[in-house]
Amino acid sequence: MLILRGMPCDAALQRGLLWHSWLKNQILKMDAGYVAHMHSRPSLLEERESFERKIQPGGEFDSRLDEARRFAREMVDGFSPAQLVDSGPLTSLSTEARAGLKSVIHGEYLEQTSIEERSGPIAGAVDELGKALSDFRDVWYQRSQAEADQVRAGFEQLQARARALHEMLGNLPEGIVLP
Amino acid sequence: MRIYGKIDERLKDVVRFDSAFIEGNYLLVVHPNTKEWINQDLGKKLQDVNCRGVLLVKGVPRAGLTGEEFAKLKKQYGNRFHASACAVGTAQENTKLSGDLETRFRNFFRHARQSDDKLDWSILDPQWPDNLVSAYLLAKVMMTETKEANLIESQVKDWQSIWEGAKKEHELLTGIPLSQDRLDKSTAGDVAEQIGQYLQTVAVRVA
Repeated sequence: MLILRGMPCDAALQRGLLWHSWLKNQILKMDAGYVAHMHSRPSLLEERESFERKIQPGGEFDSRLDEARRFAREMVDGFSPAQLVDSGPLTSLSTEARAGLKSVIHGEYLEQTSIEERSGPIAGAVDELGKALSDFRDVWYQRSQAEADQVRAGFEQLQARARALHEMLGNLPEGIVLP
Repeated sequence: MRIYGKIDERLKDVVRFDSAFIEGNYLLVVHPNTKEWINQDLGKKLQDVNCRGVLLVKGVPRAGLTGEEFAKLKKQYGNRFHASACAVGTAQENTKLSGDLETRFRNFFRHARQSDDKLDWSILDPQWPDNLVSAYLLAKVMMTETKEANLIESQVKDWQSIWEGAKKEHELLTGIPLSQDRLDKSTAGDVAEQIGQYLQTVAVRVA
């Protein structure tokens, strides 16, 4: 099995954005102690507002969750070599030949990658992360009542869910797969 | 030209950035932390006529730009703008520079050092040998015992130009001609193996 790194592939780009730009840079790299600190310190108002723009309902993290759900639905086709048949030189083939070519290479790709078995767990991990975000929001917005320990524990829970999804996405191909 | 970097250590094995700014042409390599940098600062950097190119490198392909966004920026800034097609992560990440990609980055920076004006981004991101990849797929299907294999083999007129193009690309890229002169069910295995070996050595990674 070969992976075409560097060839344009929307699924690889989306995987990279979720895996690197969101989960790693915006959740896993954050220190839970600092998040708890930010929650209660008036001097950190700017940082807190920026953080809240991410976690608030309808905020950036909710958008990323929607993207991750869509990615889980579309990833099997997204990494398939079948997409190469409808662009480039192979468009010169008859409709019937292109359909046949796609069917065979897509079938081999499914068999060799077992990628279909991975989409369900990824969708499940996204839902778990969404629930953890919702739970964390409940703690965070109890602004006066929430103790620092609760905020910290809530964020650590969010990170644990993010880590699980991060690991699953990290095991996906980085480009179109050739059987 | 000189090479300046606004990026962490991920390229340290392939380039040594210049530290002191000196008048003259230069390449700027940037890890943009946000899309805002691309929207607001990229244009400012390129207003400097001495800046002969801005190269974006991140841990995601094309620095997280969609194909549409990348094409739009290329149209806007022309050949002085580029974003690495491949993700380049830090030393702790599995996308860290290695293998052929590392060689290409090293060669590109060597070229940039020696160039005084134009930058050849194709050293970094070579064009895909489309005919070779297409011929590989055709061969893989012809290797199977399926009706699709028979159908494709029978429609040779439709893909003959792909096969001729693939033979040329293979010889051009490897210096060696493919050992098979024709592609059909009997030669498909050999053809797929030879092309596969070449693909493994370029922008392809074996999983």
